[in-house]
Amino acid sequence: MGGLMLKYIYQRILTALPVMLGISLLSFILGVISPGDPAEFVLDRDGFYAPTEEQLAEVRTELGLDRPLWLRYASWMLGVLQGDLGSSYISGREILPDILLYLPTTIEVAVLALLFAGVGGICLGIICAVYRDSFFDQLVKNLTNVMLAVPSFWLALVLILIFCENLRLLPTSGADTIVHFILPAFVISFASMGTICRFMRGALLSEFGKQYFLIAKVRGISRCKLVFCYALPNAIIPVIAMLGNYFASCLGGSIIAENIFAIPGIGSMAMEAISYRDYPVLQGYVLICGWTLVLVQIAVDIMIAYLNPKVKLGE
Amino acid sequence: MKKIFLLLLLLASVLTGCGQEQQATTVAEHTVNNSSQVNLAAFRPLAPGPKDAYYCSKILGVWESLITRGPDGRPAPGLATSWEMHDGGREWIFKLRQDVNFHNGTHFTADSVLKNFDRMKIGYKSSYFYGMRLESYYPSIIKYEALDDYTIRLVFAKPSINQLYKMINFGSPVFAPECFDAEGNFNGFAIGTGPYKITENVLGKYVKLERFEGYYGKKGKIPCFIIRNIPNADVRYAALKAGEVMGVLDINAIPPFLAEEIKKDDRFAISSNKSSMIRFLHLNGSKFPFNDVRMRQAVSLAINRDNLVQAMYLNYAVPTSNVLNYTSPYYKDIPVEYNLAKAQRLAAEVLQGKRCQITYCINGGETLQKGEAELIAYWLKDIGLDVTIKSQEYATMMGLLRHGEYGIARVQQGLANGDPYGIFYTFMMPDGSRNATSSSHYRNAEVIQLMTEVQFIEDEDKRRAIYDRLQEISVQEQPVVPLFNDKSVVAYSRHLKNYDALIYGINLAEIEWVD
Amino acid sequence: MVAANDIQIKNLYVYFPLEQGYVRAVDGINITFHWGEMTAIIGESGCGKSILGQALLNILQDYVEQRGEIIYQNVDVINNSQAIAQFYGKEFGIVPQNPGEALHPSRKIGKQFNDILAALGQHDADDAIKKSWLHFFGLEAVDRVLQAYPHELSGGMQQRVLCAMSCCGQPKWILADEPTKGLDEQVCSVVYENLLKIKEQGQCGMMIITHDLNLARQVCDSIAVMYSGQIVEAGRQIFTQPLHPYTQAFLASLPENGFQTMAGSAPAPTDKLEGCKFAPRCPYCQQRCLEEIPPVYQVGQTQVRCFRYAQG
Repeated sequence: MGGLMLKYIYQRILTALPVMLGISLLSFILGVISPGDPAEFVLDRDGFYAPTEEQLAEVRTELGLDRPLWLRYASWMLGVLQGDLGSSYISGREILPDILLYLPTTIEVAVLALLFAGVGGICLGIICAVYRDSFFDQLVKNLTNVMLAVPSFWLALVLILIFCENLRLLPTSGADTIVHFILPAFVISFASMGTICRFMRGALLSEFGKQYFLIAKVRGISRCKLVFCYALPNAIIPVIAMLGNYFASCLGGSIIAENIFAIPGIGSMAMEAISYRDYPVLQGYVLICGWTLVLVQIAVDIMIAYLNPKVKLGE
Repeated sequence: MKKIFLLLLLLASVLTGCGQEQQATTVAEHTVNNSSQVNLAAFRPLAPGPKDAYYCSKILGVWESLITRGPDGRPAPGLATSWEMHDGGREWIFKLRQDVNFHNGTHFTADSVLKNFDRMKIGYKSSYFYGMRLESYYPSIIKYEALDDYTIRLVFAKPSINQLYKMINFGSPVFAPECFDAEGNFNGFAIGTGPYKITENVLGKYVKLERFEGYYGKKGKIPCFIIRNIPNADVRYAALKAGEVMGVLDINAIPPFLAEEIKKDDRFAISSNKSSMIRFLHLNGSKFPFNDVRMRQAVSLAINRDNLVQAMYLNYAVPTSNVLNYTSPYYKDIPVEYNLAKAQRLAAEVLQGKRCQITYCINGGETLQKGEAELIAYWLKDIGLDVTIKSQEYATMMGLLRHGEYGIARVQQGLANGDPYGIFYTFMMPDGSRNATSSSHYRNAEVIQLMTEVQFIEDEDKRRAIYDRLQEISVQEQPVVPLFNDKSVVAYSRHLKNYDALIYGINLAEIEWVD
Repeated sequence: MVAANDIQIKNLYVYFPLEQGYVRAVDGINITFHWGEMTAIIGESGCGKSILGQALLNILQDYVEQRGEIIYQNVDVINNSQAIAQFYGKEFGIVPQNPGEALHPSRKIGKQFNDILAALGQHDADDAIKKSWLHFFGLEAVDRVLQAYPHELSGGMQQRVLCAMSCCGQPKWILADEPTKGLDEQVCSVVYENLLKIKEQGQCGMMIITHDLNLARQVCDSIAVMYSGQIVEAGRQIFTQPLHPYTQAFLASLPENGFQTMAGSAPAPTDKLEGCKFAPRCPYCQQRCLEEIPPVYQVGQTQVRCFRYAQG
């Protein structure tokens, strides 16, 4: 790898820092401009109690809602840099430990979904490109349309009916072992699998038409080598970028999958925070997700540089 | 090619790396169902944990209270065996059980109870179930003290004749004082006196209960329960049918149409009972047309509740126009009136021949509400109301209610204890919280007078008469428009016996395994 | 007369389906390339030389349509795709126009070279074969080159690498597509050198597509002149005795002959002309020229597509 690669990594990280700062500002503002008064929620969860104005004012002071914006942002950021994302308005629990509690589950599902979408999509795409216009290719082309259109909750329930209730092959819900994550990851990755397949197919076909490929083909280089050593490494680069973004979005947690499969991930944590206007949790969530996305993109760029040497020279 | 394989390998190792964090060893054991361990499922986490005021729901049988609900809905002895009321309700004396130990072996005495009162006094604690506030359950309390090891005395500034009702279940929980920290929050599992104790609690996933061998009463028959959290109703149903769980419990355990489905399968059975939940419509009394009582009556008369309950809820509900739930011992069964002609007449008087646009807010999260709203809108069309249905999330809807920016809103109210006073207060008194937070602006001089009177009346019959009158007024004037009383429905595998729905939850200690 | 390793092109048409209709890039070519000779294909930009080259190598894109025959060793290569894989491709060496695009961008030179050798059945564990070929074409730092990626080499070096890759299989035919395009004089002379070396190396036939007339003059045995998709003149004495009016005008426009420009411009790709393509600009144009396409006439050793040489 060497010096050039390291230099590239440093550069990449440096350019990401202002982005992360921007994300922190946006996530802070998001919490502030959302309608709904958190003080009301803290005091009246069950609708049984009408808090008076004084009580509401008291809670607002307690939560620090009456300080000027810039001060709130500064003190929040200071805490963030020290690893303290504050506490939930509603439950009083500290946010960072909660996120770290739920995050590994979400990461597991996300990685598995990435594998399904990536490996599945790429394999399908390769087969379709190599056997272009065959019956399989036509079938998959139409199937991907369906894959993109199928609503994930429907797919989830149907799969549960088939594999869990009737065939008893997989557990219906829960998040204990990796076996529990197979169905949710599959459901989450379904639509992306179709997209990646199409993209891979298109990218490969585009490589198949390029000069170097045609010349190599004429020279009699074996078909297997042509596809896997010549076309694929070049075609796969945009696909990896796509997969990187897809993975980062999976890390935000899939609300539907988490609800249906009873997986306590950060997606459901965020949903609850939204329902109860739990600003600190939302801010923390957006911040963590945003920063994770940036980190994943850096990782993807490094991966691409590893695969495609031209990138390091800044071409 | 090599590079791609390397990357895949990296991904796979991240995956397995995360996986190691799970307690993989005990998982296989957890999912087994037999006579020593039973899995059940509920739609929400029944043990929200240390930051919840109660740690877990009373259904779990982990903690008990001084006063419980008797079979007729009246206060019954729990950890308190008997009581006396003095000074017109300003003084209450409770005698406590002497044979009770907490799960950690310490003995239950008056001191344990006082420490729990100290905890409530620290301040408001939020909860998934009911907020814990000393003033709500013990309004105007001045003093609480022990008269001896098994007697306590409560002193109030104002008479609290219905204090027992307020103390039922969530009003007087008793936890072992060792399980609190200085701020009154749990420093570990909740330690109570009930037939089951918590041995494991994985937030959001499941809670594991084990039989408490030192329980003073009838010990639990099944040694271990694992209560899982499965939010989605269809998946809960699938888990039941697949044999992963042996039963479902708590509110919304199984929707009506799935209950009908599962009845057809011989391996399963359902059980239902009255529920303390009442579903109703708020009408915006702060503006036209619902500020006129005739319009509210018209709405109530135009809704065919029998039809609604049968079509939408398959008769797993009972129509009512009474604001008091039918599990209260003071409930008066007032016939529900459905009269479209009368409704049209009353509406015409208010609307004067014009039609009125009304927004009808429903909670987007509950699937059946949309159909119900459309049915009601269809009926209201006939009395001159053109209804637009707005589906919203809970928080937004509450906001709209508070600021009076709605026409009709579909909500619900649970009866935490049998106490009718609280219900009448919240809906029908001008400063009642439900009244205030829904911009209902309902005000009735007779109601105010009766409610003030009843605080001082000790005679049961007179109290009953006042509560009867209040119910009649609620039916007549419809400060809110109740639709129906719920039924609580649970389903279970026939491997279990005595899996009966109670008004609130099920009795875990009674459940037995059948081979 | 068609000798054993000659390439015979019969009625070759190459169509590009575009929005505006079909564009005939190659519009009826009949010619035989003789093995052992170096033939230059010259013409202006856009006359279709490169397409002809691609058609010969069968590296046209899928959507392009071909009609006609290319016969090599008694096999019609266009209509027999198996032939390409089996032998035709290996008999051909390519020195392509854009060396940067002809090399796999993310595979090291050494590895690519190995792929080619493997396809030829040769194994070169110690890199001896590769190094000797690279040396042959004038590369000094062969170790560095083998370990480099294409974009790390200059254009000239890439070209030498490609020459090496093409020749290592001792091909019977070499097609060089604009080998001196965009190169300065010094590098051009290197290219001439390389091509001559290839000629010396062994018995092979060569086709050089170019508009560099110096190259054609210095290196080639026979010349074919292309205009608007057709070969208008082919022979050994084009420079001394141009027969076709276009060739004459073309030569007249060279700097050394006084820069005499031709009137008019070449037909656009989508234009459909009934008769001779050059007729509108031809000083000798007659009515017949506008209506009929002139066939190929043999004048001594030269072939000309012009009615002026019609017998009778």
